[in-house]
Amino acid sequence: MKEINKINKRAITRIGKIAIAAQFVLVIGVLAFIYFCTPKLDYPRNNEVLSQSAVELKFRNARVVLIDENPDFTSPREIDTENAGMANITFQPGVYYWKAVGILESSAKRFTIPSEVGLELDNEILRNSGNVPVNVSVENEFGLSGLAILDIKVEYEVNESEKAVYRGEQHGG
Amino acid sequence: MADSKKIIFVLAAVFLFGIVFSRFVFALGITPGRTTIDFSSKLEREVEFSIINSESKNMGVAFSVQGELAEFIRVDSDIEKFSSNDASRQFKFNINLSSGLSPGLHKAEIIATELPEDIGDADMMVRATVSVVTQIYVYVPYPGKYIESDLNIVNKEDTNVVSFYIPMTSRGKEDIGKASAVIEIYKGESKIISLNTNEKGIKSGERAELIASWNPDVAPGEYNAVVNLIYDNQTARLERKFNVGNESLAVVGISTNEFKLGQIAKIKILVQNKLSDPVHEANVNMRIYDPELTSIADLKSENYELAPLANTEMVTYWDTEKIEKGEYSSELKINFDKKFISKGFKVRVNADSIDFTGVGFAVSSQPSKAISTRTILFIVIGVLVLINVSWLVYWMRNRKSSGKKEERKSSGKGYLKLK
Repeated sequence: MKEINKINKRAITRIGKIAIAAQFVLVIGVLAFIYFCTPKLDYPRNNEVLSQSAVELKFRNARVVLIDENPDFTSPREIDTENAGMANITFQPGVYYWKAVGILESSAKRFTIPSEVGLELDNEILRNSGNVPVNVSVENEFGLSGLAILDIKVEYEVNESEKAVYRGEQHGG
Repeated sequence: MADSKKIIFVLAAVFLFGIVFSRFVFALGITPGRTTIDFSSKLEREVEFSIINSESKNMGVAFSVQGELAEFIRVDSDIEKFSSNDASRQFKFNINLSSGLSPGLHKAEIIATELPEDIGDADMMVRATVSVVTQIYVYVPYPGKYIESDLNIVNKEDTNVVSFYIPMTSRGKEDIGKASAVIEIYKGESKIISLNTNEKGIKSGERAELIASWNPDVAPGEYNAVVNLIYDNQTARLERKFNVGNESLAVVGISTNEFKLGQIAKIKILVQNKLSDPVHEANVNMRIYDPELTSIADLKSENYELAPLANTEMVTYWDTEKIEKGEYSSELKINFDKKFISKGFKVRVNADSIDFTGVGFAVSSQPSKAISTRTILFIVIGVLVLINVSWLVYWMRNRKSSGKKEERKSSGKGYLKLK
């Protein structure tokens, strides 16, 4: 009987050891899986303010990128990249959140495309050279008055001979 | 003597010619165009902005501040000289606000005016120039709870689903516990349907978005969406008109013929007018981008009249002299009646043909699904619990059976005694 009990105990101990080893392997395996399969976002970095509106998103372990203006990704733009790990996108000025989706999903990062107001006056032609639509007003001896709303790269003919300052500021609330 | 007179005459002519035909290009940029600040009880902050010397030239820039908050803002310079090597330079302004501002939006503008390099004062300018503005928006929170909201309606023609997006910003001092909306769709005066959005909580100063989708089974035409936004027992109302059904115009085809790289390509866009009325003054605007997303062509057609319920070929021309073989992105706009439709294409330029394919990227209401790390962890925890419970049950059973045997053995009913 003692022998049987001993055998039983040994069996139980062995199964216990196997169970503990299995759990250990499982936990390590899952952690390794999460570590190696979670997409990594390389560029832009979190909270980075970029200097240009054409952005090359760089990431690993994914082919799909989600981009949204909301941190909770309620209405994301989904970009299925042809070249895994890279996506060239031109953004309007604003704040964006992005994450990559592969087998797993990465955490979200935020970046900002700052607006640039640009105005060019070349031989009686005004041109919006920035990346946002601008309200153009003219300041002369009669005071300040509204002139035009110019979309990006749009030109507008003016009478440059008068002493005037053409002022451009970002359009919209 | 006569020669020297001739030389003087020629020099004077060149000088006069230079004055008359010299190009005075004024060009200035400023970034960011706007800085938005949420006001707290006391606001003291240093904010950076950059002036861009777009023409890379020697020039002066004069700074001034205007607007409601001008007295609270100080720029660290009045006039700055730029050299042709300065592509851009960074400046700072200080904003120092104490309490006393009413709730809502308060504004100021920092104005940068371009001056010729030899002029040190904007008032001394004798000819036209340009100035650019960086705006400062300060939001003072409303007492209690307050939401600023908007309504965007997206009609996806391929799936026949109309999506309603309500972006909201919490502009009150208190967080919003729960915000949701009911969207009522009207045709004229009669209500068609009521839609409920999801629910969201929003912290003070943060932004969130509500969504509802509608799969309409109604006749195409114009409808009215009335949104009743409800947040913590307060309400706000929004209203917007939108169209159900197919777009009034559709791009049916796009092609070129007898193309040779380096020549001018004739691009033919076949546009279908789905309306029962003619469309006047419709034109095509096609922008083509290289792989770095730099615009390499901005093509425009003449105006066309599109006959009702018929296809019309619209033509635009692309000079491919400096274009290389390869794949480009393109955005095609058909402008009509102060509206436009827009389509994305890939343009593949070959030696003797141009192929137009596919659409770039799209808004997705059901984004790609991935297994979340949390799901994996839940599965793992479940498996571990299962292993441990199985092991425990097995161990208990064995313990019981060996205990019974021990019991039998000690009470004399054991196997050995019977024997």
